[in-house]
Amino acid sequence: MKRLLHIGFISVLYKAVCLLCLVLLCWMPGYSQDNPQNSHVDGQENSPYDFRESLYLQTDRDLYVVGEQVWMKVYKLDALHKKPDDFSKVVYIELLNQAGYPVNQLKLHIPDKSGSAGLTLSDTLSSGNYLLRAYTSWMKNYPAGDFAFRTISVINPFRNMERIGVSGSVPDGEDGDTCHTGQTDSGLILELISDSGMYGAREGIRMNIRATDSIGNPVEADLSVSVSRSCLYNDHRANIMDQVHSPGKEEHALPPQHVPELEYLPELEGVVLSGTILNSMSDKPLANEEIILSLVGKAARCQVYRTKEKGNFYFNLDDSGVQELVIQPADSAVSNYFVELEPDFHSGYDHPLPGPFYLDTSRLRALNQSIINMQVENIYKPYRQTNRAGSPEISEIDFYGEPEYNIQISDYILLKNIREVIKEIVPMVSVRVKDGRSTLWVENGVDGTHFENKPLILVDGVPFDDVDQILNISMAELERIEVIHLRYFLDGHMFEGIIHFVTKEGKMAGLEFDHAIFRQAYAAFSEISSFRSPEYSSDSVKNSPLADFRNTLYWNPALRTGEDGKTSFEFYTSDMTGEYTLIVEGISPDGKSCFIQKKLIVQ
Amino acid sequence: MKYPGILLLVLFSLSIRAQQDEQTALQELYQDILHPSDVLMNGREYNNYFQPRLSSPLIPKDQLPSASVLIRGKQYQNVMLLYDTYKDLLVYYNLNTLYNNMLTVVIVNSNIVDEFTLQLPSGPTRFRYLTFPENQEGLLSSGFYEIVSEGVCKFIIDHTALKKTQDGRVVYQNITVRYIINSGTVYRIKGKKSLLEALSDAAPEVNEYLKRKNIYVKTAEKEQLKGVLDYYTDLKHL
Repeated sequence: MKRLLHIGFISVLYKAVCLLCLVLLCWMPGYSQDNPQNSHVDGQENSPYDFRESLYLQTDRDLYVVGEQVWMKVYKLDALHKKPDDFSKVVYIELLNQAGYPVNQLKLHIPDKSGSAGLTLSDTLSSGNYLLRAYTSWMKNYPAGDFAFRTISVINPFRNMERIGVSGSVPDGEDGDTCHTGQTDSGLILELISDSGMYGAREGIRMNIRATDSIGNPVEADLSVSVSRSCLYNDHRANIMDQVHSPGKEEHALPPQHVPELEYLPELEGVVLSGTILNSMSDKPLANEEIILSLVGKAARCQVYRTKEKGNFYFNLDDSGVQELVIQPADSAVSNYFVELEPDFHSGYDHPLPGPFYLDTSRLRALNQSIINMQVENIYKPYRQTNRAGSPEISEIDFYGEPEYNIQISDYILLKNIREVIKEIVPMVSVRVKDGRSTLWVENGVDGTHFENKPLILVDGVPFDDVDQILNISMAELERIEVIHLRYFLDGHMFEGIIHFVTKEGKMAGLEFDHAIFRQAYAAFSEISSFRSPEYSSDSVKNSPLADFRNTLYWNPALRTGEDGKTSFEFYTSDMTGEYTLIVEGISPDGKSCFIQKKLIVQ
Repeated sequence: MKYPGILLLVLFSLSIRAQQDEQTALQELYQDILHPSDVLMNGREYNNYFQPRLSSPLIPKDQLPSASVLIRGKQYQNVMLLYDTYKDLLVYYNLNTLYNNMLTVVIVNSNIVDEFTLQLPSGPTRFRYLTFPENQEGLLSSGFYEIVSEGVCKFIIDHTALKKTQDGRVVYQNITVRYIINSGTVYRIKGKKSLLEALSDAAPEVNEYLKRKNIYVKTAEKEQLKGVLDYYTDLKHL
């Protein structure tokens, strides 16, 4: 008996050692490089082309009225394992009409594995179906069929609606029973616990959620919740399970037979601003030329890039809102050039476009009420809620950090002009005039000698070397002068001192370049609005005469269950009675998806 | 198939590994294209303000390209980095490129450095820029600190220099000060008393451990103190 036990132990030990060896083999350096599947691009090891990512796009509902916002959540996934991933940091979202033209575009900074945004539906849109598509820059290297899509329907009651078809009553998949537990084929179970399914107007509702795997272990899931009028959902609403585990999508996600030429870089920090710089006389690229990107504003935010063989350049931008950018060669003697920027958004659409929109006649009454609700909401919302844009603050830090000297003009007596200010107040800087042109020079802060080369002169963050124009800026317009009296290296380029003139407006005080320059407004990250809804926690607010006719009662794109798999959320009903649908869906860290819905009646 | 579970595990392990390699390759490709220039060449020129032959606030004393630095998630190996302990600056000696026929020495922008490792006589020493609120009542100001241990509490060492005058000459004396950050509070570790104060929620056990291991805190090596903190972390996880 002892011998049998011993043999059994050796057998188990043998299997364990074999298993360990195999797993170690997989993780040994070089194994995956030797795998031909991973080196199919010219024998290149670990070809970056093999990495694929995908997105899942989710909206708060399916049907909208113009003037409303589409609330969205984007999940970023590793396409191979369908697991949440935070590789690309920028996600592009477009709303395409039936002709495939974008009618609205967003550029979102999503540093985490998921993010959210709101997109306003302009009242210029016609009624019909629209396609929302989402992608990353890296995904643009592959067929657009691999992007994430979602069709939404838009009603514009203020424009001709004759083109809209009508359909008969579609059998409702839900019979009004509350659904308290949702499970997916991937094994993630959501349990929704609430006290009842019937509520009064302006009543608080608290829901508890528990996420577990198929054997009951708690799961930390990344969820979203939407509660909207039931008539604004399609009967067969596409949910997260359809897209994350769609067989069609998985076919698309396979590596292509022919690896495409790398055209788009992934965006691992901010938006990659790319383009080419060419000689305007010969149309030849300005290769191996140092060019400077600068943004017009009170802070100096410059980047230097040495162009590639074909005149290509790449800059990283992580600002939000519209910025005015200037691109110019570092050598001011180079003047005959023009810059072409690559478009950020994908131009083609090799994927199906949304079909015609049919109104479900059985819902006409409810939809008509939703249209009225939208109009009432748009009247009362400004008085009721403070739904402000939550855009990240623009970085106001100069690339050179703290200057050695910061001369605030208001700290001194008003002098006649900038020439006098430099002479009397600004240390380590002097003006010289040669051949009728003025130049500025900086003394080396180490030994007090003058640098041999001209300093970098900035006006409101932009390199500008026409010193005579700078000296003519009105004293009333100038705010401060900053001086760096040391050599400064920026992306490998050396400047012998820096002088930065900052105006009160921060708009370059109307200075004109003496040669053509690339200066263009550029929208980096879109400003993100967040969903706000009223709270009727006190009687005074509850009895407020301000009408509340929200079509979407609640939208929370950032709900997460804790280590115990539990979380909860609260919201308030509006003045509008009727049936509402609550939907919770999301993904676990290992890529399991879940979806659950529940009907709520407000009486 | 006799062991389908093993095969599945192997395949899963393989695919995860491959995907990680691809991500790394893609990150490197991105860095090479977006930041092709010497990424350390960002900052002001560094100028010696001391007499190197007399005394230097720079560490390590052996000026060799043996340091490594992590910038925006990318590791750069075998670079010549020195740490100015008096001015709290990371200094980069660019041995590859001459500007105006001069060897360039640059103060690396602290905001792009994730961390750097210097080869000190005590072994590889990892530094990171730690930010502390300016108006805090604590002991520390923002700057580079050696990171010794990051368990339940953080054990850091401040490498600094004192400026003195000796025989009419200015000299810099390098010193180290040890700190423990526990639950957001900073404790300067001078001896056993301050250590037990920092780890007050397990003071009897830690005290017992010090006795058992014969550790005299005031003169203990940092590795010994790291062992104490590892013990403390284990206690907290029990």
